[in-house]
Amino acid sequence: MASTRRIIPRLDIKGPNVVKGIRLEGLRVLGKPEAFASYYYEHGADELFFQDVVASLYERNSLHDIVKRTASRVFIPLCVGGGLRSLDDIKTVLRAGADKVALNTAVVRDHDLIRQASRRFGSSTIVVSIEAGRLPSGGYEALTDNGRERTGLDAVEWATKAAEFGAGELLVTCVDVEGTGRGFELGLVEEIKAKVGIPVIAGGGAGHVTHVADVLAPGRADAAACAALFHYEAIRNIKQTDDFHASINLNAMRTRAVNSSINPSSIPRLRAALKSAGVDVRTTEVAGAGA
Amino acid sequence: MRAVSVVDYGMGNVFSVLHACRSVGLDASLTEDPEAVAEAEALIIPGVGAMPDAMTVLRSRGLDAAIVDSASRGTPVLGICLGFHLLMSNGTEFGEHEGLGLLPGTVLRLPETGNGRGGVLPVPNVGWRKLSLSKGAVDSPFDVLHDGSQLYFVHSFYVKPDPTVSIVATSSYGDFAYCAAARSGSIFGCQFHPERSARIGLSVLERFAALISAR
Repeated sequence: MASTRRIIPRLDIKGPNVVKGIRLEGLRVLGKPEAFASYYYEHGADELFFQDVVASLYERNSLHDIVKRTASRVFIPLCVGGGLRSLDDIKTVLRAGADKVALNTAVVRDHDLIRQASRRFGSSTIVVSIEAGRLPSGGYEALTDNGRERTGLDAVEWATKAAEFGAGELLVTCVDVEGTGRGFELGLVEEIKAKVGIPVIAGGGAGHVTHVADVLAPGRADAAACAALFHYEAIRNIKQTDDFHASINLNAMRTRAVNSSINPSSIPRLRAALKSAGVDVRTTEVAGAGA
Repeated sequence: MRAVSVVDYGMGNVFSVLHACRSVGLDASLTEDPEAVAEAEALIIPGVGAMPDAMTVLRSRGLDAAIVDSASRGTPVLGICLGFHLLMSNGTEFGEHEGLGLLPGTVLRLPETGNGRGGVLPVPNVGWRKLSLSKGAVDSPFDVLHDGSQLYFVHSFYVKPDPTVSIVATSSYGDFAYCAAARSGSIFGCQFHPERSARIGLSVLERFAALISAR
């Protein structure tokens, strides 16, 4: 039988803010990560994923502060990725309160870093993040630096190798669908899942609860990471505080720039939809689950 | 004041354990000092990673003897995940090696288990899994849980306790049932992460706090 699937809100973080973009361009500020993290925790998220989308040395401290503040009040697993280059970088973010780290660029350049990190911190702590770009000839190429750099590596082969080197989990995102709200790249997820013996998390593309049901079907992902699907619902409901720049967000919501492919959903509503679709997910007692 | 020392040997998410404890009113502090550990009112041993490495670190800092010393005086001890594995007599990761020996039994790798579609379930076992509770749960931090309670697991190895140890809860990895929590006297261990299992996990820590108070 398939094991219970996981629902993982993904927050893209730039400096002190949560941002959202389409195809990793055109970032829009949505608010404070801590506010979103608390909201998702209270609404039954299984885990959280923070992706640092700028990942420069300057911004590193604010990310650590965000991790600390989140980990001190949100008691579900937290994975952090973006710009982690060394064992020391990993250690620092784990000590700040992260449970897992997601690695991409650094491990494409040095495959052995997976083995070293896995040995030192435990393989379950090390998630290798695969950003895949569709090739005109068919197949996918692995990309790095938030989808900006090509590697010449076949994404599926690289995924297999990453698992062999000791990754605990794989996060698989197709950059061509990320942020579009048109659904996950199901074929890619299936292909990778068939070849590796470790859990696979699908990231990027969800615009509707049915997309999540599709990607969590048998033979596909063990978990789904969603951003826009949740953020555009959260943003309407998170209580406005001084920390939460409501004026920016409400304007963003009101403009026609909001991706019309996205049908926002709360986590409880997604959970209910998944159960109806026969997907095994955790049962939580959260207000609004029946909605 | 209910105080607990969280043993910090550099492995695992100690920050989360600390804050989860504090959020339920436990005066928790991190320590890597063997004297503090030996004199602690209660101990939590967290951890994620490889058992032989953890034992090497504990031994190099004298924490192994301190934990055993503390336990011998009846100090309540809660081992979480790798911390649970460390309580056992021995483990089998990267070859056979000794644990702290506070709970008789061994630590083994999860076996390949069918996924019902001709393949095998992935390892590590990651996610929220249901428990089945046993009678041994009474007067333990786990008596707040019930059949079907879902807690967060992330592991590739599992504990196989000797019959003298009371298995408090089991969980299933496919068709394979394994020990999810165990106890012997005031020594408790859980394979799941109470500090990462939202409110139900925090209630386990809260119960541990109550047990410490009751001494």
